[in-house]
Amino acid sequence: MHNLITLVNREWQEHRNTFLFPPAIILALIVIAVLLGVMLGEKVKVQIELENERDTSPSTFQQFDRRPAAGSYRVAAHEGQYSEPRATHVAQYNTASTLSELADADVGKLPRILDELNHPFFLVLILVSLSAAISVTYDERKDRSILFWKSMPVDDTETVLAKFFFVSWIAPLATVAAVVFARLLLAGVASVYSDELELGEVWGNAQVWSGFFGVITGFLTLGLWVAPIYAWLMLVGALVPRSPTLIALLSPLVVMWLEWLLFDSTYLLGFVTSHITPKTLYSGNSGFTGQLELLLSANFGIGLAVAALFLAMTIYARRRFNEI
Amino acid sequence: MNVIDARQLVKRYGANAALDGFDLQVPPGRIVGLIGSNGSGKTTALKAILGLTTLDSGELVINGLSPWANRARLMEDVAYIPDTGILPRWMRVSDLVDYVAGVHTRFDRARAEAMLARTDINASRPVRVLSKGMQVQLHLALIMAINAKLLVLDEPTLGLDVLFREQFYDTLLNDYFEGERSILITTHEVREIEHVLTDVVFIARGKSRLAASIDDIRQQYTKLTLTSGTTPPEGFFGRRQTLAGVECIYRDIPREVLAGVGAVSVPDLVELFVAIMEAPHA
Repeated sequence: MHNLITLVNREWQEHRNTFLFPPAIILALIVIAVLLGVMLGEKVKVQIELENERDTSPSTFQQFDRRPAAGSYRVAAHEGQYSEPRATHVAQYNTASTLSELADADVGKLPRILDELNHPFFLVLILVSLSAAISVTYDERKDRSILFWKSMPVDDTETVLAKFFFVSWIAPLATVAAVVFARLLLAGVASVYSDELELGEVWGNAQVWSGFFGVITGFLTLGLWVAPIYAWLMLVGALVPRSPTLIALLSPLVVMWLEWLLFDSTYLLGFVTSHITPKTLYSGNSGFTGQLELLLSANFGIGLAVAALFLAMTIYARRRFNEI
Repeated sequence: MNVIDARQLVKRYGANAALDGFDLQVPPGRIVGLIGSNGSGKTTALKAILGLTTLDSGELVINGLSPWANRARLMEDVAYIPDTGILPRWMRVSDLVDYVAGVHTRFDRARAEAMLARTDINASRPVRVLSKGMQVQLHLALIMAINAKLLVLDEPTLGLDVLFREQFYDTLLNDYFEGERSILITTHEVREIEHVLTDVVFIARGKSRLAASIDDIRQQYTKLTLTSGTTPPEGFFGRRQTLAGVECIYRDIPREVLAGVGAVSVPDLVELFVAIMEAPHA
């Protein structure tokens, strides 16, 4: 265990910039966008008045509960800068559910916006992790430091598993921290600057909180789901003397082409693309079910078996091949 | 028990045999020079000893262990400095010390830090900004703080200036070599290490051509220097023409016999190496 911590720490020291800078840059862009939005954005207040057909006296939106009684309503919305009316829109709604949707719209939008926020982070994380998966086994051979690592009493199995653990679960921690921070920031700004959203509506919203946990479980699942791809890249890095990225990309393409040519099948293509782009893992709120479905799927089991095979081959390759 | 016990090692790369029946025995407490020309099989032999490569046949036991099957365990007792810088260039010196302390149970951190304090190495700097000499000093400080039974040095001073090379071997002899520790060194700068060796092994085409202690060499081998035109006595196995005359190397010929013919001396390792390499059956 002590060795594992030392080995993972070593990987972090070598690759920390790779995993820190991209999420930091995305986070900085989001912060800048939010600040610009807060400082420069025009604040528009919309007041909605509702008139029941049977009772024509107007009442403001807030007088209703989130679920007003069923019936036919006439809706008048006054749009303007702060309290000064600028325009009036009038529409006829026949059911209370429509009103209810209107009322819930602002709070309902927030978790979706927060989920959208995950995508750039996780996409960049996957790209960075794929690149790191090659370099954790290739760079040490290229700079000959593998001879130093091998002069220490650490066996290859321990080393390769530490590298895999690092790429799958430790390195993404910076991204997860950035995602959580960005979500907190947006939710905080929304609760402070939105007249329609009150503090309790944001922070008391279960979907907002489940989104945070969805991000964490999503990244844990991501490490397992992308494992066969990570393991493949680590194997190539430990095996080939040069151009590992090219070989890692081209060789599966050749196999895919042969599969298509000989069997008229695209199974490998589907396997690889599904394991690189697991969209359900990016979203927080809607992701729990998707994550569970992924973990229970046959594709997941096959992926783990493939990952185990590639990792075993990586251990063998690291043992056998030294510097380039 | 020998620290290194290698018998009839064979390692082939395709049609070429890097090791072709190589033998090497190193008892505890010896400093052995493994000397050979480029491509003679030195590096392959060292890699086999360190568990970094497989063998096609032969028996190799290091500290009672098979190196290929037990590399991690073996490295508890074996330390290694190779020919060029292999320290991770991106790592800071202090992180490197932390790493070795984290994985090596026989690493004496205080000793390493004391050695580093005697140098100009700044512990907060990454390895890549250190000069080559400093990198060797750093590596030496790390390795010498490991309480190992065998130290393997593969051209450890390659590319260093004379002062650093002197300092390196001085430190090695004064601060490291003691008791039961053994050192195996390969180098092209044979004259520089001659005075530190207790034993020497010449290797050519993957075979040991000579394995002897320095004391035995001094007793057994004689160099006879003759002026031009003088015919050397029969029995020499190495002969070299110089500007002043001829130098011949003899084995097991009493020096009194040769003394009457020319100037008699003990050949240095380079002269002996050249003579043995040029004499197929020496």
